[in-house]
Amino acid sequence: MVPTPPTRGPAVRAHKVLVADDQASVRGMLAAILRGFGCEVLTAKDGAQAVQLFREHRPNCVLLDAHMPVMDGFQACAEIKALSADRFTPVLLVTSDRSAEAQVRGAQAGVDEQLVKPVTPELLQAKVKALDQIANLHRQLADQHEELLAHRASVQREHELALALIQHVIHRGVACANVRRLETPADDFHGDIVFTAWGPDARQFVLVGDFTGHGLRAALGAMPAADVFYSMTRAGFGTSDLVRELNKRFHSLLPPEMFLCACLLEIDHRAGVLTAWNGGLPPAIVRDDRGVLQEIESTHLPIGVLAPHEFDDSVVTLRVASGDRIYAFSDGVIEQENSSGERFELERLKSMLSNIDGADRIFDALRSSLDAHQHEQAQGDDITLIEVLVDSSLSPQFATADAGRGAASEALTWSLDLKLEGRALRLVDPRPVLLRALHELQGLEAHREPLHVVLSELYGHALDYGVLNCDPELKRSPEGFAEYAAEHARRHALLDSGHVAIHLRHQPTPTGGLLEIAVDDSGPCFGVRDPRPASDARGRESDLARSYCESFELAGQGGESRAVYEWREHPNASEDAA
Amino acid sequence: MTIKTVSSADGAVLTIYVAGVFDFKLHAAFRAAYEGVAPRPRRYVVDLSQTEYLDSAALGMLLLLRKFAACDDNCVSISNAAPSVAKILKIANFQKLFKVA
Repeated sequence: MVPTPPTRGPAVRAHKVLVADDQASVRGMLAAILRGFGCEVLTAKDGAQAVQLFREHRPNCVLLDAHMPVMDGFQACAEIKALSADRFTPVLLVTSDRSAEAQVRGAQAGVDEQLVKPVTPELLQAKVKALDQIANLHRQLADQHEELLAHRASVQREHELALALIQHVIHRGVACANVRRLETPADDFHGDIVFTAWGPDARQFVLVGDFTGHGLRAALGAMPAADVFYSMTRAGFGTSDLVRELNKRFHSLLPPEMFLCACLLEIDHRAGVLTAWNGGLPPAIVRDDRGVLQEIESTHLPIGVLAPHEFDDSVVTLRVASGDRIYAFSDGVIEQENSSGERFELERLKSMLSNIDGADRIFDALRSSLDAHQHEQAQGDDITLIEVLVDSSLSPQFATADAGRGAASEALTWSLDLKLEGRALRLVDPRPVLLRALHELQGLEAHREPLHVVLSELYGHALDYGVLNCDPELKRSPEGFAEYAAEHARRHALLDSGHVAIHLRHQPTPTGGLLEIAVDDSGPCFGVRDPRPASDARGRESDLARSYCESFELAGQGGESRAVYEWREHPNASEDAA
Repeated sequence: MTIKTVSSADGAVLTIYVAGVFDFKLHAAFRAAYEGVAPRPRRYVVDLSQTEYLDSAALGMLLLLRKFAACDDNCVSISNAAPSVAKILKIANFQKLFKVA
């Protein structure tokens, strides 16, 4: 066959081509055509040499004759395809064999194109070009795949870092011996939150929360939530202030479709009082030692939905006693399905709470039951379940780092007066403000707990029995307590006149300092209203406050209550901590 | 179609029907159902008669609709929820924001 002048078309991109044919003349002709297209050409005289050359030079296109000695084109193709599995290399079989069998064998060997001799240069060029384009596509795909893998690995690393950071931030609370927790995430991150903390006057706070979505999205909300929760409980704020601030923060921070279903529990173990706010979670359940259950239902919209001026921070107050157990959980618990598609359901949980013998076994029984119910099923949602044991003998666990930091600074002479009138009394809690002032002015961090107890006692006395004129006697019985709580809430909500004034006077002593706290109020003036009986919760609180002070007098209405608190400088500051 | 919309004859009321599982996957479709409807309806009804289940993402989508509607209370109502779905709305106290029928 006489080589015709090569067609000068656009250069083919397959720049290194391997040609294998046992006939030198064919090899020569094909090579000439291909070199005319601008390709570099390697030649082989049999299949084995072709495979060898392929291995050494990795051409990007291969032309094989079907019938060659040592190794034929079909075998060579199969081997070359195996060698180029990671990088698509087009193989064309150029043969004079027109048989159907040759077609089949070619297809089976993985040939990309099978051309019958004689092959015109134009046809060869077109076929090689077409195959080259396919090779390009493969290459692009492989590149994109690698890029995707690298990107994914990078995102994964960032994700892990973010989660580690978040875990550190949100789990800074100290573990509490009376709180048991079951937290199993649906995927790699548990999106529900459980925060526990002690306030300075030994009230315990527990927040159980469920964000919209899970994984990293939920984590975004967990950080500001932790911030608000831990700083406010530390400062001595109560439930209403806490939920209001959480709502304000989320309403401004998160998009409108994200919110936090939450239940906040405030337990005063000594006084036997539970204060709760539930917005969007299944009911929290209080179980007394006889197995009688009380539900605290969700009566609020979840946190973050309403604008601050629309937000409802009203709480529910219940009497509790040592031995009572409080359960709170996210909807993942009751909605978990078993293999038959049945949900765990609230009724089943309640029935277990009522019927299990041995209150201290309940939590474990719930855990096993949930586990058995879920069995092999995929977990639908994050599962969170907590049990809080009410125990009046509990004392708060402050991190010891706090105590060290609280060394009093130089004792100074100063005084501070704060008077709240009318609406201010309703809207502002002066205690955290004054505690903060005490710390700033006189560095009394280490005395946070006793000072908060004393301040609370005096202020509470003035507000509740003075301005609001509630009857402390009501609180002696459980029914009376509920009535007291309701009446107190009602009067508090209507409050728009009257005042409470708090006066702080501090002076140095040879050994430390003396702080005098006086509180007067606008309540009607007659008689002493200090309830003393030891069985009364208020009496217990009074006794505690009294025990911290040099002197402590609760006055009659309109009169002044006064307490004197003395502190002494110790050589080792950490001994000051309660 | 999981989401179907029907406008009243005068265009004042837009009803959005959601079938099956109302979750995050319907985010784009749900929004598309009410955004860009002209003339702008005065009332919106989300009909959940065919809804088997809704999750917190769906609650979020309802809040987005309410924000979009930007009208007085109860111009967005939720109707015909099955008991299990109604329970989810009740726990979230959505009747404080929507008329739930």
